[in-house]
Amino acid sequence: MKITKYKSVIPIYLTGLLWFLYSLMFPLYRLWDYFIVLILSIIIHLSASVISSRLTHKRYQGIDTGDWNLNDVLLTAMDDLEKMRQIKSTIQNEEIRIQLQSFEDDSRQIIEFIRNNPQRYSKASRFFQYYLPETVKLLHNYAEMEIQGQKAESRSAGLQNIEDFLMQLVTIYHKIRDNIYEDKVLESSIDIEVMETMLRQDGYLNDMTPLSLENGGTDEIFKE
Amino acid sequence: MKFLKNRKTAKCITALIILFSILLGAHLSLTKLKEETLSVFYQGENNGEKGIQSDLEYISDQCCNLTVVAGRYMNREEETVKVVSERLEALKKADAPGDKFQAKEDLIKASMGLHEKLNLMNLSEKDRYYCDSFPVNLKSRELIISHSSYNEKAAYYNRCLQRFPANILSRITFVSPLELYE
Repeated sequence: MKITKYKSVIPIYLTGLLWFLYSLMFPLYRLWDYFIVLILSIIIHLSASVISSRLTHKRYQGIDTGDWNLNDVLLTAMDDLEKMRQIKSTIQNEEIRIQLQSFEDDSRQIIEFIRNNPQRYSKASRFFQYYLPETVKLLHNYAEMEIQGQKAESRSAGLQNIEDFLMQLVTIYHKIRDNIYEDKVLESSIDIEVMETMLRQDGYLNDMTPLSLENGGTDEIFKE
Repeated sequence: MKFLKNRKTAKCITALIILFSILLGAHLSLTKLKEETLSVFYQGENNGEKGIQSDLEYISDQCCNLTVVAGRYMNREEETVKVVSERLEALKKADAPGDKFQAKEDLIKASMGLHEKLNLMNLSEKDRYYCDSFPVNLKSRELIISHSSYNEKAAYYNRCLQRFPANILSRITFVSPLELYE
């Protein structure tokens, strides 16, 4: 997904409004008239930008990926996490509660990753748009059915169905998380390879075996 | 409405607003300055003060009265009386300060010609008194006109129009310079 750094258009329109109002109220035929209105424009534009940025920051509770749409997605995901936590407190089944903790942990990691790497959103778009909200919906249904089941003192087949599915879903959530990190891992290994090549060229690394493959770390380079 | 949130659209719209504001602001402020300067000609500089226009009206009245006096001693169709009447009409019709000045000069010249002719005639005591005071009255009014600040203000306005950016904006917004009263 192409991330475009979002900036509010309000400061731009405010600048236009300032020029219009100034033209109605003050003379605009000398050079210093333009100098005054230009200074005022800069002040208005900067002030509006700062205010707008602060309002955005407040609205997204500190989430600022630079894209309002993505901020909305992450904010919704955090709401879903909150709902998950609330549902967890109502569920009696200890196994499901453990699974729920696993969902929560994985989801939190995915949200954090996308928050820090918004350009990777395309890899997780389905997770945010479908998997996570549907999981919450399923858990909500489960919690409701569990309450009804306890009252009736019998477990419905539907309840068992959800339990089975949630078991599978735990593994799937792990896979989704790992899949999102995959690119980052690949990117890191490329970076290591490039650095190794450069170190070799500069004579700091004479061994033919790539460092990344031996003893698993770059710490070896600075041994001496 | 979503397109309004686009930064490129916002920049384009704002650029158009700024351009429009520049033209509007230049037109409004230059027109206002022009009207203020012209009001010095018609209403005088301060409230209660009379402008050049009222002095010109006084001169017209004086010249008109002279033709009435002349009518008592000579034919109204006589050339000198006719010329004064024509010049009076021309001054009434003159619109711009420059034209008014020229029309006033012509009127005074014609009136003085008529006045000289009347001086040679045997006038009644009342008409003689009027004829004697005529040039003095005109001179006093011309002296008052010469103290008017209109020309100074009109020259300032014209200088403003010659400076950048008013020189370009005045042409685009159809704001013309002022004629001096000379």
